[in-house]
Amino acid sequence: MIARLVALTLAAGLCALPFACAESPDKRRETAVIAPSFELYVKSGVDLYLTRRCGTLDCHGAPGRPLRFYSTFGLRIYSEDAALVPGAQPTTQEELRANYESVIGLEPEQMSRVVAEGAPDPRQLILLRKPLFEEFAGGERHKGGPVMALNDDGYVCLSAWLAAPPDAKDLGPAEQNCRNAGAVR
Amino acid sequence: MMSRRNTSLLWTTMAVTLALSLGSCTMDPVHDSAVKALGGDTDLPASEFHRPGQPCVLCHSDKGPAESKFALGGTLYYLPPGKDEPVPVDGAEVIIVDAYKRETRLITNCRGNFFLRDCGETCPPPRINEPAEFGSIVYPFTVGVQKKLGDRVIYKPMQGHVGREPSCAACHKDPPFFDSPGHVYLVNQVNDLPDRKVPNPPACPPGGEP
Repeated sequence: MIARLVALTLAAGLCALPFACAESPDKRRETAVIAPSFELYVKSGVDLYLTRRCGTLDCHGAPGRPLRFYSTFGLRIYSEDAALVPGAQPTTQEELRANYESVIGLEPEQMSRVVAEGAPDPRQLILLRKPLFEEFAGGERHKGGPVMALNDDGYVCLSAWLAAPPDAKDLGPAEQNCRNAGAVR
Repeated sequence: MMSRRNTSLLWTTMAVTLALSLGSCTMDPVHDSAVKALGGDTDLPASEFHRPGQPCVLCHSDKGPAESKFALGGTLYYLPPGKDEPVPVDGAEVIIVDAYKRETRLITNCRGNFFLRDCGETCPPPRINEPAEFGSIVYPFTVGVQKKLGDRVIYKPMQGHVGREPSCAACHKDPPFFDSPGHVYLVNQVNDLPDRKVPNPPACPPGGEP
């Protein structure tokens, strides 16, 4: 008797399952991202740091890798007209924009939250948390190993960029950190 | 009803098939297909001169099929790819500085091949300014190539660094494309060479270490 009851309940549950998930997506719904400045991303050297440090052809400059970066130091945006080749031509505006969108699109909602709050703890973003040494990364594994330390030039540069107000003209003292980080090969 | 003889024949066939399939490849289909994609061996098989320009550590790793294991390996040519066959650089130094600022020097052979045999945790300490055969490298590392030609020493550093890939040719594929700068080469154009001439390719000695 009990077995029959259990079987009936299971069958009813299975029949109901397709209908439970059948709601069609709302096509008008959009996710707006409160994003850090694109101008500062380029001008202050955030892109230079990320592409030199992370965007090599064997890491985030590899086709198929998440958080993909394009630059003269690694992968190029495929274009029959421009025929871009690593190391041959400088990084293009299109590549800079693609890198920026890659960064802000990694966790769009969380990026909005962190930027809106002035980035009091940028480790809320996987962008800064994952590449950190394990003791600071909360046990998250980065396939390329730890590549950033708390308060090293790269970390300070990225944090300052995320915390910069929308009308900021530069990153203040962190400009020097960005220069140092971008110079490291 | 299957006879006893047929049953034993079936079991034998199954056992042989299983043994062959296990013996011929690893359990990693991605690795196996990458190895197969390299094609047949070159004219000097299973020696330090074989398969120039191919990703060495694909086979020279724990997954095989090569028996010797490399920490890194690659091939150096004189010029970027053009219409002529690329000429390998013999006797050039490949200078690697790893994440701990340790320097390792390797020497290219007659095919332009260079490699560092992996010694894991039993490595001898690296010797400054001396070529290494065994070693281990902590990523990321920078790399430059250097060659004395006549009175001139030509040095060319890599623009970026190596993040994690031990085979140079995994990224330095030929021809250059949006995802590859092409082979590793010493100079950008023939005018950068003394007498504006590419030296003749050296002949390789017979044999060679696997």
